[in-house]
Formats: sequence, C-alpha cells, structure tokens
Amino acid sequence: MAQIIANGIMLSFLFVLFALGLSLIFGIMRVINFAHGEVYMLGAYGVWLFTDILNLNFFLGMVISMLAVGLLWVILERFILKPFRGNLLPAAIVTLGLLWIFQATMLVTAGSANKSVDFPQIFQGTVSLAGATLSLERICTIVIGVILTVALLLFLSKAKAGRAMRAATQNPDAARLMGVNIDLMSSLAIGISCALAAAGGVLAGGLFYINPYMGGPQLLMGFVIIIIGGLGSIPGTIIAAFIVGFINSITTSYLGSNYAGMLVFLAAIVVLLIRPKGLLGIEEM
Amino acid sequence: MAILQVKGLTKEFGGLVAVDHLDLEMNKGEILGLIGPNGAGKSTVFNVISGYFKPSAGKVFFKGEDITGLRMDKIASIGLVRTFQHTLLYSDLTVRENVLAGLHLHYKSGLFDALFGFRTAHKRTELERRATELMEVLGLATRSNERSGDLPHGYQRLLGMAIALSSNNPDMIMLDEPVTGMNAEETASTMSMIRRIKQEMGITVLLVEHNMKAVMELCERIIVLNYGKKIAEGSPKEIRQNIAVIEAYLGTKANAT
Amino acid sequence: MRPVQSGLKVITALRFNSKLLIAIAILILLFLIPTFVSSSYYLRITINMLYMIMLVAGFRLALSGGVFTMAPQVFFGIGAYTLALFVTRLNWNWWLSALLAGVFAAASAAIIGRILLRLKGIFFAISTLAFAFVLLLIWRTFPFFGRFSGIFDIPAPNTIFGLEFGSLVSYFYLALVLAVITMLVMYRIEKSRFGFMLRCIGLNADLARSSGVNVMLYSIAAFYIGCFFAGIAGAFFASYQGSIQPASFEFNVLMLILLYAVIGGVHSVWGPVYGVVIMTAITTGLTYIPHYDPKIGPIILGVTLIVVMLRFPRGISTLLESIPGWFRKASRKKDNEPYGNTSS
Repeated sequence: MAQIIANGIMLSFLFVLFALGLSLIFGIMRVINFAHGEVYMLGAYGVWLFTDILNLNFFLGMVISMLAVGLLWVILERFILKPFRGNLLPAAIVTLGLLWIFQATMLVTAGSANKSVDFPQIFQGTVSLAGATLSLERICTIVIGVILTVALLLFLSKAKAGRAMRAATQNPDAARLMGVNIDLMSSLAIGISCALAAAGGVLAGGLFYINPYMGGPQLLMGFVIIIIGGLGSIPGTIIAAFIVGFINSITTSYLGSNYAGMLVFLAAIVVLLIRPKGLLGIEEM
Repeated sequence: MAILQVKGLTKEFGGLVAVDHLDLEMNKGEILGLIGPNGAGKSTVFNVISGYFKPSAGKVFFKGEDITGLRMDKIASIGLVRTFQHTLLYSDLTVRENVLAGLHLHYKSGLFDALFGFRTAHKRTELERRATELMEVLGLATRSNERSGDLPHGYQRLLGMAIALSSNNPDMIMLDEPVTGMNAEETASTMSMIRRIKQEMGITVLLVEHNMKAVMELCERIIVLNYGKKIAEGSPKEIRQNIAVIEAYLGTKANAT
Repeated sequence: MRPVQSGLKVITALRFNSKLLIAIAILILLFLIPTFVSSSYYLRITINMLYMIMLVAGFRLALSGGVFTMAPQVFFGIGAYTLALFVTRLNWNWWLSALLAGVFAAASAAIIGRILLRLKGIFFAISTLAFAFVLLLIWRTFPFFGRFSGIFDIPAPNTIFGLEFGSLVSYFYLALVLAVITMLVMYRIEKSRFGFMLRCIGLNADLARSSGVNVMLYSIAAFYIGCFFAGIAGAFFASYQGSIQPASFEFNVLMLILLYAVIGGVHSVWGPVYGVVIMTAITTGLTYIPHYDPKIGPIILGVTLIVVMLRFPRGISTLLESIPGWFRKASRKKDNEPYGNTSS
C-alpha cells in the first residue's frame, strides 16, 4: 500500500514538473507547446551528456541541463515563437516543427537505443518505511519535485516578477497597461517552464530510461492533465497531476500499465462532463 | 411612450458588483448619454442591455417586450442595435463587404437558400443597391473596395455605425464611445451624424462617452453612474451643476494620481 | 426583367469563361493522371493526397466558422468504422454505407457539439481532444470494433453504373471524384451568402451577432458539413486500405491535418489543396536526394515548416493567390462578386 502511495507521489511530481510548464506557457503566451515532450526529452539527454560523457556529478548535471534547456528555449521563443503570440494555430504548427526537429536530431545523433543515468551512489539503496521498501532514488525524486514545485509557487506568489507573471496570465491586456513587460514575462515563463520540464526529464532518466521518443507519452499525459485541471490554472494543474499520477500508480499495480492510460482518459471525460472547463479552469478565453 | 425600460438591473462578476439595481427609461426618439468615471459600470450596462452579458438580476424591456437575457442576435433582430468600441469592423473585408454583412437581417432566407442561392439573384441586386446608398450617405462610396481595417480611424467608426444602422430598420441604437479619441473635426462630423440619425431616421440613441463636451452638446438627457449606481439624472444643464456628479469626478481624479 | 436578367447572366458567364476553361483543363489533366503515372507507388501517394484534402477541407470549413476542433481524425475514423461495420457485418451496399458513414460522422458532430459547444475557444478544442481519446479507447476496448486489430477484409465498392472497383486505378478515380465533389461544395459555399457570413463570423463573431446573425447556427452547420466530408473520406479509406485499426486515427493524423491546413492557409478555400500538395511534394522529393537518410526527414520538414510560417503566417495561399495579381497589375478589375473573394 505504501508502495503505491510512494509511487503515486513520485509519478505525480514528475507530471507536475512537466504539466506546470505546459500550463504556464499557455497562460502567458496563449500557445500550446506541442514540443514540450521534447523539452523533457532534451533534459534527460542533457544530464546523460553531462554525467556519462563529462563525468559530472548527477545533481550538477541536472542543474546545468535545466539551465541549458531553459536558455535554449528562451532563445527559441524570442526568435521563433514571438511573432505568433496569441495566434494559437500557427504557433501550434511551429511547435510541431520544433517537435520534429528535436526528436529527429536526437534520433540521429544519439540513436534509438535506451540510455540511462544513475543517481549518485549514496542513493542506490532502499529504505524501509511503513512496511514498504522504498528506493532512495524515488525518495530523492520526490524531494527534488517538492523543492522545485514549492520554489515555483513561492516565486509566483511572493516575487515581484512572479506576481507580474500571474497578472499577465489572468489578463495580458490589463497587465500590459500596468506596465508589465510582456516580452520579459514570456521569456521568464518559457525559461522556467522548460527548466522544470527538463528537470522532470532528468529525474525520469535517472529512474527509468532515456530515448528520443520518451516525450510523446508524457505530452499526452500533459494534455490530459490540462484537460482535468483546467487551462492556465496552476493549482488546478498540480491537483490534476496528482490525480493522474495516482491513477497511473494504482492501475499499474493492480491491472498493469496498459490500462493506466485508458483510465486516465476516462477520468478526463468524467471531469469534462461535470466541469467542462476543468477543475479550476480560468474564466476567460 | 418608453421605448426602453430597465428595472433593477444588477450585474455581478464573481464578488464584484458592476451594476447595482439600475433603473432607466428612454423615450422614443431621444438621445440619452450615459456617463461616469472609469469603472462606474457604463460599459457593463451597455453590454447587458444589448445582450452581450446576462444580468444577475433585473429586467430589460424594449418596445414593451421583455428582452432580459435574450441573445444578442435576437435583440438586434427586434430592433435594438449597437456599435463596438474596439473590434468594431471586419477589418480584413472591404468597406462594401462590411456594409453587406450588416444588411444580413434584410436577407430573410433559410439556410438552404444561403447555401445554394438559386432564387436570390434579384434580392442580391436589391442589397447591392442599399449598400451603395448607405455608403454614399456616409461619404464612403469612393472607398468601397478598400480594406476596412486600413481606413482612417474616424471613417472606421463611421462604418461601424453604418453596419449597426443597416440592419432591419432599427428603432434604437447604442453607441459605445462614438467619439473617444477623435480630433475636433471628426468629433463634430460624428456628432452631426448622430443628430441626423435621430432627426432623419427617428432612431433613439443611447450613448456611452467620456468626452464631456460632446455629451453636453449632443444629449437631451444624461444619466450619471458611479460604482454601478445611478447618482444623477437630468438635462445637461442640471447635470453640469449637480454636486454629486462633480464630487464623483473629482474624487476619482484625486484617487487616480 | 427576364431578358435583361438572362442577358446579364450570359455576359457574366462569358467573363468567367477563362476561369471555367482553366478549371476544366485542370480537371481533365487530373483524370488523365493514371495514363501517365503507372507506378503504383506514386498512385498511392496521390490517392493519399486526395483523401487528406477532403479531411483538411472539412477541418478548414469548420475553422473558418470559428469552430476549432482537435478531433477531425476521429470523425474520419467514425466514417471508416461505420462503413466497415455496415459492409462487413450487415452486407449492405457500399454506396449506401458510405453515405451513411458521412451521415454518422455529421450526427456524431451534432451530439458532441450539443454537449461541448457551450465551451469557448480553446476549452472547446481541448474537450474535443478528450472526445477523440474516448473514441479511440472505445475502438480499442470493445470486440465489436475489433479492439486493437480492428476490422478486416473490407471489400471494394459494389459495381455501379457498370464500373467495377477493386483495382488501384479504380480507387484513384473514386478518390478523385470524391475530392473534386468536396472541393466543389467548398467552393460553392465560399461564394454563397452562407460562406460570406461564415467568414464574417470567423473574423468578428460579436459584430456578426450584433447584426442579427445567429452565429451558433452558422458555426454548427459548418462543423457538421466538415465532419460529413471527413466521414466520407473515412469510408473511402476503409475500403482502400482493406482493413482499419484504431492506430490509423491517432494524434499524428491530427498533426498532419493541422499542418496541411495552416501551411496551405486557413483563410483560403484552396488552402487545403495547396497545403497537402506542397507538403507531400516536399516529403516525396526528399527521397530523391542521393544517400538520403529518412531519419533526417523530420528535421528538414520542421525547418521548412518554421521558415514558411515565419514568412507566410497566413499560409502559402497568400503567395499563390497573389500571382494572378502580378499579371493584372495594369488593368483595374472591377470587383463584380458580391461576396468578394477575400481569400487571402
């Protein structure tokens, strides 16, 4: 039982890191980033590059990967996505193009064979808690997930830039009138979103495996999370990520992973029927 | 005979009360101005009456009929039309196409006709004629094939009014900040156009506006709103002298700095 | 009145003669394709293009009326499954079943529209995505639909008017006829009052409402028509492939449809054709490069995509449809069309 809960929490945080970015990007720029799965994937390959090839410490590799991916996307946003801000369909197509570019590039350079990275030696091992054996890796993941999520929430509620970002999400026009620099907000938003997704990728790489296609399923889950949680709502995304994470964990334990996806979709439909805007979807749009 | 009656109109957004139990009446053929400081609820009243929003409470009667909560297109087809302050045109379409779009209500055919348009050739020429007429009245005939979004702003507003006026003999038109942001010349010509609308077409006019000079010159009656409530009502002269009104405006000015 | 009217009609018909001639010429060329393209590889590519055009055209019609869905791929699937089931299980006539496929797709659009259309814009779009997920789920789970393996042995259309079906060429002609009919309908709609109002709604729905336009009615009609054609395309697809699986109607098909629609230009009635033809040409053309590694295909496509979007945000149609303008630069052409051809 504790196993399932622990797994659930771990998976949920992986989803949170991924979906928060998706939600933020949509909130500020009104753009659906179809390439977000590739951000995740790049993060994983990033840490592999720094750890396996350059022999850096895992956590150092993670931080560098997050920064690198975040920076890459800030640049991409400024030059490629900026003209399409608010213009949903063309922007979506552009992110589609980015998806293809990144996925194919990694396929060609790194090959399709699975790679993996390991958490540092200290974390190889397990711990007994509440009658269950929990791997230290997973606990570490949860801790990192909590740290990053809390950091983001604090940023959004306390930091000046963060509050400005929230204002821009609610009402971009009003925010602009109050002097908020939308360009800066967009860069911040995409940088943070992609860094978080990259972090998720790093952790997934450590826990599971790395290959060029790992972004796809994550993107699908990301969409479902957004459907359930409501577009543009941070708390909604977090709650939805937990719902999805736990559904995944529970069904995988009892029914096998094939059915996890199905149940998640069903949950999405149920939510949509009761609350078509998602649990906490924003009013406008 | 009151053409428009608003009783106890209330509109809330979340916890915010934008319009608070407003009562309003308009007589056929008059020009009424709705003024008030920013955030007073003028636009909200406007939007509720025209059907853009549904009221939280209260009723709206037009020509004796209850139109509370009706869809905007239904209200327009009964004879109450409006203009928009922003997004006022089909910017990508030509001037002529904009006017033709406005003439939609004249085109009473079913979906099948609309799709295959066999029997409607002469109706089309009729519409063309009307469109040309309207454009000439507005002085836009020479620019009929220009992209409407490229027109000078004053002409765009004019076109916006034309679109509203071209529906099926409207009895009343609501103008959303018709002269805001215009220079003196444009303001004067728009004002004379509004007067012509009232005098020559017999259409009742309700307008929301910030330009005090225009409101005082144009309107026969003025209603002042503040915090969603009516705080004054009367002729321009009466309003000018009304203390509550002055306080409301001064108060807002002081707070704004 | 009558003589003057018919006189006017003749004059306008003569004026359009050049356009009509070009159209007929193109049609004839299209019908002659199998005579100079004998390779089945290229024929298949062309057939693929033809039913994609139907899908994209339907999607674009709904979009132009303000209805952006993320489910055209499952309406395609509904059509396919409908035809497959009626023909293989009930042994119904193919042509009737195909028509039914279109009707079922449109009916599903009606049902789903009823429930979801109260949502606005992006919320509606995401909820149609959820609908797509559900449908795929249903197709994968229930034995009635054949679960993961789908439905097999879908026969060719029944012989009609003495024409037999089953060969690749016959499928080509069928696809061609269907695609031509689809585009013809789209063209007629574009020129009609309905199409005009649809464009207005797409540009400024609130303004349309204030002119008394029942926006919901128009948008819904566009949505239903679009789904009808998606269904018909699905029916064709089912027989053409011979078997269908849920995997054929997934997310990736949606991506392609979006791609073709946007690259071609959603504001132009011919956009779907431009988008499908050009992107297919590029992907096929790539295979000719010596030592071409198909793995880098997506990279080239992605870059092309981004470049095209940056340069032509409203699609290739803006480029292609301005070409006649270059020839007519000198003469001042009086715009005789009431509802304009504001397809830019």
